[in-house]
Amino acid sequence: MIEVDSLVKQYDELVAVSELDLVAKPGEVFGLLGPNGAGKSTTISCISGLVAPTRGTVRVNGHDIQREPKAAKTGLGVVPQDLALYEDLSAAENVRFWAGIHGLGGKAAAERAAEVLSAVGLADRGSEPVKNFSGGMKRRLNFACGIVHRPTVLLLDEPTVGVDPQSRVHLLELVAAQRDTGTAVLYTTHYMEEASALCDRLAIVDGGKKIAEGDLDELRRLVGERDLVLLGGRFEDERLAPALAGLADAELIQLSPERLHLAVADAPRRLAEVLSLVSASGGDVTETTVRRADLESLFIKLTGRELRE
Amino acid sequence: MSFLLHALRKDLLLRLADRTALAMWLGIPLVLGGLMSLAFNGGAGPSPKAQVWLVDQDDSALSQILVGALDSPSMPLSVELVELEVGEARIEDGQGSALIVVPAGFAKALLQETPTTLSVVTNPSQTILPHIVTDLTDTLGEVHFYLHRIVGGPLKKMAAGPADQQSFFPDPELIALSLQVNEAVKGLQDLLFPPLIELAEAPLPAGQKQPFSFGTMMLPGIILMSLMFIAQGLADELWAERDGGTWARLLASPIGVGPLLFSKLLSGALTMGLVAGLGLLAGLLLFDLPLGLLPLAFLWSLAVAPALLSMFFLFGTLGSTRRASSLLSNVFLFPLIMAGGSFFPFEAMPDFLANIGRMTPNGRAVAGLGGILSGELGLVDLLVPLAALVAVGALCYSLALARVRGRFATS
Ligand SMILES: Nc1ncnc2c1ncn2[C@@H]1O[C@H](COP(=O)(O)OP(=O)(O)O)[C@@H](O)[C@H]1O
Ligand SMILES: [Mg+2]
Repeated sequence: MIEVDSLVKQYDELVAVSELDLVAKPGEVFGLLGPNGAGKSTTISCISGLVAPTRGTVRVNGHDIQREPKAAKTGLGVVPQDLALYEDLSAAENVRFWAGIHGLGGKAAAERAAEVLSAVGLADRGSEPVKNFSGGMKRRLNFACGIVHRPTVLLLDEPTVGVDPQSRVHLLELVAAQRDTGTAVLYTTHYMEEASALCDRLAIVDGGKKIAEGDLDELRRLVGERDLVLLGGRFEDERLAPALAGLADAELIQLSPERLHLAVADAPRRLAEVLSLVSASGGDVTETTVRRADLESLFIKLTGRELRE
Repeated sequence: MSFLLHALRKDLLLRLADRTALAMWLGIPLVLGGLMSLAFNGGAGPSPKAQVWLVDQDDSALSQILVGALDSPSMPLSVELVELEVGEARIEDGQGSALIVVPAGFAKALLQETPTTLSVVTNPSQTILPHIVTDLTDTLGEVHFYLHRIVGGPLKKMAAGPADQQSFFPDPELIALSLQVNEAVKGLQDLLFPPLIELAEAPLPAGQKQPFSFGTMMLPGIILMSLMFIAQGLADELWAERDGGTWARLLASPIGVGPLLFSKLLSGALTMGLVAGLGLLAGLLLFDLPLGLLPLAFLWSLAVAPALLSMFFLFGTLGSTRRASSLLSNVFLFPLIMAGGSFFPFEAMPDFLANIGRMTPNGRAVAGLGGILSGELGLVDLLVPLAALVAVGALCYSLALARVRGRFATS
């Protein structure tokens, strides 16, 4: 169980995390979806006790991470965004080391290491030095080191960045398997597809702030039944804005001289109507995108920007 | 405790994985020892000497002193007195490195400080040895200059000759003069003469149990210099952990980085002990010292290793980046080994520097090892300097620990 209360982390002037609340319960994957620089890693670092929050509290399994760090960290597993491996050691030695750090000794450590290595598909590569591994293999080993001590709370910071599609699917399955054993998982990502495929509940964050929270259905409802129409080109706001106001079952999200974002119900069929309206108002369209309602369109609706800008 | 063993196992495995570095570290004492014995022209075997033909046209007491000085065993010269024609012929023949001619009237000119020259003809077919000769004669020129600044009075008096038309100095005056010169020269010896000469003339330690040898004097400095270099390299491994992300992951574990740093200290000290042990063994064999000295010398090196390593844990993590830290620890490393008796033996240093040097942690370690090798210090005598070293080490260690627990891991 992770409980984050009004968490603030400030680096000098920069507010990396601002008044963040979240709860991740046992047996659930809580997603933190947001673009680069949204404050996801900083949040993870505050929860794992790596950095001290400027304000607010973090409790892991009921223990305050700052006041009772030992108790809080006992059930904690962390898979950091940057690999944390000993490249010169073998995969098995890496896993055994982290097992040992968490108090598993001798035979138990070796057995558990073998078990975890086979779970991540590295059973037959255990004796090889990590430096010979591919990026995807290192990611999987990084994951193995984070779960070797059977944590009850697991923090995963963008664990699939830069891996091949196969390793990625494998990793997502591994996370789901952890949840199914009753672990509370906090999963950060900037991939909308991952968040919607894996997370039971999620928060969308941007600029350190939570801008939406809920399960997938709740978030979809926030976008409404409308799709998104994203147009690029030249637009004359004074003439266009009043014209768009008359458009039925639509909402203007962003209008600038180069950009027009609209939420429109049943967009594919009504695109012609929108385009003729624009040209009638003296606009010029050079680029057209239609997006069905999803998390990405929710992010655009909430921030006016795309997730992967 | 089991996590400490796991950490230790991991560190030792890492050490073995990097065999090149380990081999290099083991080789450091040998390389340093070789370089030092070349530089100081010491060791057992005969070293190359420049053959010099010397023509003494002055034949005064002073010129004979000069000839004696050039021919002394501490000089890299072998001097043979010859007639001018013979010397010139030999040099032209390509024999020998140089021909030095002491002109008539040399002594008188020297005493009155009027210009005089030693003429030096070098052999063009040789490169290094003639250089040594010209360097040495240049040095003599400088010595002469300073000699006049310091004892110019008595010298001039001697040159002016005895008063009252006497043909010789009355005894008491002569004695007073020579005493005056003697005192002044003694006071200057440390400053004027290159360590080489000082070294060769250093008196045997009082209460000596071992005969004085080059090895006794140089070996401790070489061993400790090696340990300092290695300590610096070992401290850099903290950055490897940090940059590898493992340090951050450890901070998220219930045991934190404390045991990790301690395990680095233990595995590092073991490595340093291994290097010191092998270096000492090689040194004792090479310099013909009794092998019975090895156990205590080894124990001492092993005991001082954690203190030195802690010092570099601190220096090596002070900077905000790996590069800045490495620069910073170099800034500490070189003055420390220089003052700490590794470049020049304490005996060859000016007193004030030697006193400072003996207070540095590595200087204490050098002094202790030197005492062990010369047979002056036993186990009990070493306890006080060891306690001082442990205290400094503990201080450095706790500061380093605070550093690696704080921003080091996360910034
Ligand atoms: N140690 C630090 N010092 C100063 N600024 C930082 C530090 N760590 C992160 N930041 C800043 O905080 C913001 C959030 O960063 P981060 O949590 O890494 O975002 P994310 O993981 O979502 O990409 C960024 O603007 C980043 O530059
Ligand atoms: Mg991040």
